Amino acid sequence: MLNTLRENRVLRIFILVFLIFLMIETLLSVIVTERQREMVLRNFEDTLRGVAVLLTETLRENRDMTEVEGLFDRLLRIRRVYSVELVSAKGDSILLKNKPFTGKTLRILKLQLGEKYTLIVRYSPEISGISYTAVFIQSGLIFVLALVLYLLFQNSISGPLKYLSHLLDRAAVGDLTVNIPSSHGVPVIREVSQRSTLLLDRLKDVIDRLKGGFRNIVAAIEQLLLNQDSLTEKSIKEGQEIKTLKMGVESIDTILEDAIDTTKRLHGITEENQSAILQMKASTDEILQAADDILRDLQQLSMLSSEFEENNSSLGGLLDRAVNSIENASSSVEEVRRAISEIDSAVSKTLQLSKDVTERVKEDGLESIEAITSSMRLMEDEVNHLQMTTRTLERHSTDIGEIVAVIRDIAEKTRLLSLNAQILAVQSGTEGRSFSVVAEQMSELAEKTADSTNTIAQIVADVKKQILHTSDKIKGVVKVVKQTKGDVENASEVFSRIRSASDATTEMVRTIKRATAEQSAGVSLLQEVIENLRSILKELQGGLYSQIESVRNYTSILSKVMDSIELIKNSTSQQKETAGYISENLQRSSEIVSSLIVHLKDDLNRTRGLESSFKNLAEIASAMERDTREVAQLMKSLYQEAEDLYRELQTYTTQGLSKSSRYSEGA
Amino acid sequence: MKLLLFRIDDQWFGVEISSVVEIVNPQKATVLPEAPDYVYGVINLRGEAITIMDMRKRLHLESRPSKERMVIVRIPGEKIGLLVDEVIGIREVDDTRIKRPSRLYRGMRARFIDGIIEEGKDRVIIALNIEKISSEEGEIILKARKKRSD
Repeated sequence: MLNTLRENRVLRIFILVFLIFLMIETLLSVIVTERQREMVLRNFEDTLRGVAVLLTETLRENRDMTEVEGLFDRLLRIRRVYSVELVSAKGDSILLKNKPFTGKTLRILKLQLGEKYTLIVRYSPEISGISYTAVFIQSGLIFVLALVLYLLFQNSISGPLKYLSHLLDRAAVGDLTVNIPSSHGVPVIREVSQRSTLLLDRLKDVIDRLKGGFRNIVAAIEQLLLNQDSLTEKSIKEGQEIKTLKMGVESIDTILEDAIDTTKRLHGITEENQSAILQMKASTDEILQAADDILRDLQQLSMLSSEFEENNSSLGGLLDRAVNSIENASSSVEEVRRAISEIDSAVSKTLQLSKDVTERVKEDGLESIEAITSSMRLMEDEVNHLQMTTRTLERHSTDIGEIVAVIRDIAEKTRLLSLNAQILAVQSGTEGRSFSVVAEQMSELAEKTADSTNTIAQIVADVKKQILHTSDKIKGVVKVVKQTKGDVENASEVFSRIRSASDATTEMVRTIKRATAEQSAGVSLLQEVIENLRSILKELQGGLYSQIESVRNYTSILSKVMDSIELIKNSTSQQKETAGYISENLQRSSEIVSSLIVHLKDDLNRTRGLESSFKNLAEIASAMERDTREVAQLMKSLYQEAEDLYRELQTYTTQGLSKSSRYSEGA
Repeated sequence: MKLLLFRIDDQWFGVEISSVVEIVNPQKATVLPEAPDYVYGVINLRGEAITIMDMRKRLHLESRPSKERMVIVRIPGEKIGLLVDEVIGIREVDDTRIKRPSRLYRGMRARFIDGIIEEGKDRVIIALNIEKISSEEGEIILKARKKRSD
């Protein structure tokens, strides 16, 4: 029984739970019983209090103690009450009544009866009908019943199950020879036993097969391990060789890298030199450019100066021409003046002749016709001469007009020149100040020339008008003279007409004389103006020559400056050429270095390729080595494992039998 | 400031002398195809090709030439010539006399004008900004002048 309890955990738990249940049930029963007792006692004490009230009334109304005694007796008749005592306020016992006490404990209840007395009742708290023993007996009965039920259960189910479990335990430790009976216990247990037998048979079969397989595996692995060892050795050797080769390639690589570095530095230095040279070249170019600019400006200035000089020279020529023209004009005017004087004298003569004719017509009549005719011829000649002179005068006036136009053109050119000179002077800054003064003077001269030219043009126009007028008059005279001559030659009866004609002629001649005088005055004015112009032109000429001289000086200074700049330019060009030469050489050396770098890089790349191939090879070799080692390791462990397993199986099956026998013994 | 004064129609204009290269007599110009009508043509000035702008057409003014001239001026990058009716001369103008043009001066946009100078009682000189005038593609019209001539 005790063994059963030790082995069966379910049973242990069942009993424990059952005991706890029993304890709780007992405890609850005790609590309920105690409550009931308390209630009964409280009711009893209430009754006693009611008696006390009654007793108090009795004591107040009647001092007779017999009634009290009777009441005490009645109280003592209650089974529970054992003693009743009346005590005074001072504590003296007045009346005591009791009965023999057989119980265990007594309770005392003190009740105040008015102010003078106290009632003390002693009673037993025991209550008949309430017993703890009954409770305990009930619990014991239930426990025994449970135990009986358990034993019944164990005999029908637990026994066969335990046996089956025992057999399976034996199988679990390796004894596969156990024979499980299939005719014990309830049907469910029989079913379980049959299935377990089947399972054990199959397991036996599988283990046998496994054993065979493992034996084969172990043999194969043994062979493999032998091969693997030689392979590992080989791959280790190869790996070492590859490593040596790789190291060699790496050292080549380092050497090549150093070479490239050095070459690159060389290249860098070359490039720096080249850039410096290029900068120098650029600077030289800038200098050359600047020199060219300056030279161009100076050339332009020089050109302008030359042009100015040329213009001035041409102006000088023009002025010379103008002066010549003025001289010509002056001489023409002189000729005109002379012609006018001639005309004047001719006119005077004509007038005289006309007067003579008139006189002779008056005085001598027909005898004088011959003389008149001859005089008329003379007069005609004179008039023709006069007409010719007038034409010359007209031509000269036209010439003067042309000259004036030339002078005007010159004045315009001078003005333009002076404007350009002023612009040049302003742009030359302080150096051009003196130049500016000359230019302004030139401008003034040009203005004056233009003014004078305009006056001259006006006067020439007037003179021309006058000449035309005179010419018209002369034409009229010629006509009249011709007519007169015809008249004189044709008839003498027209003496009177001749006379009047002669008078008219005289009058006309007078008019001519007046016109000639006017003309003469005009010519004098013209002469004066021309003289003025001549002096202006002379002045202009003088100014121009000094200007030309200063411009020439300026130009010579300019050309000296230009020569210097040319020298600078030449030396700069030489410098540039040298720089170019250096740059070219540097370029060539840079190119050589570049090609060297390219070659070196190629070499390096090739070496790198080789190196990377070696690296790959080495990696592959080491990976192979590693793999081989791993495989060897794995195989070793596999071999170990297989061996262990085989051994395990072996021991399992052999030891299982001995264990099983021990179990059987134990059972 | 020194200005070179020139005349177109009866309006006087000025350009700063520092930008003037020289003044030349009108020369035969080669006409440029597909150029605006105010481009007079290209002249060869001592081996240098210079484009001439006919200022009368440029400013839509009537032409009243008396002593036609070409004023060669320098603008950034090149030299151009201005064909004008007459060159008046060089005038020193005190800077205080140069007034800023109003936003619309006689219909001409203010950016083409550097300043306005009053000369005497009834004459006004317009200081032109040749650079702007030569680079602007649109029309520049002196409307007031047109009105007055109408």
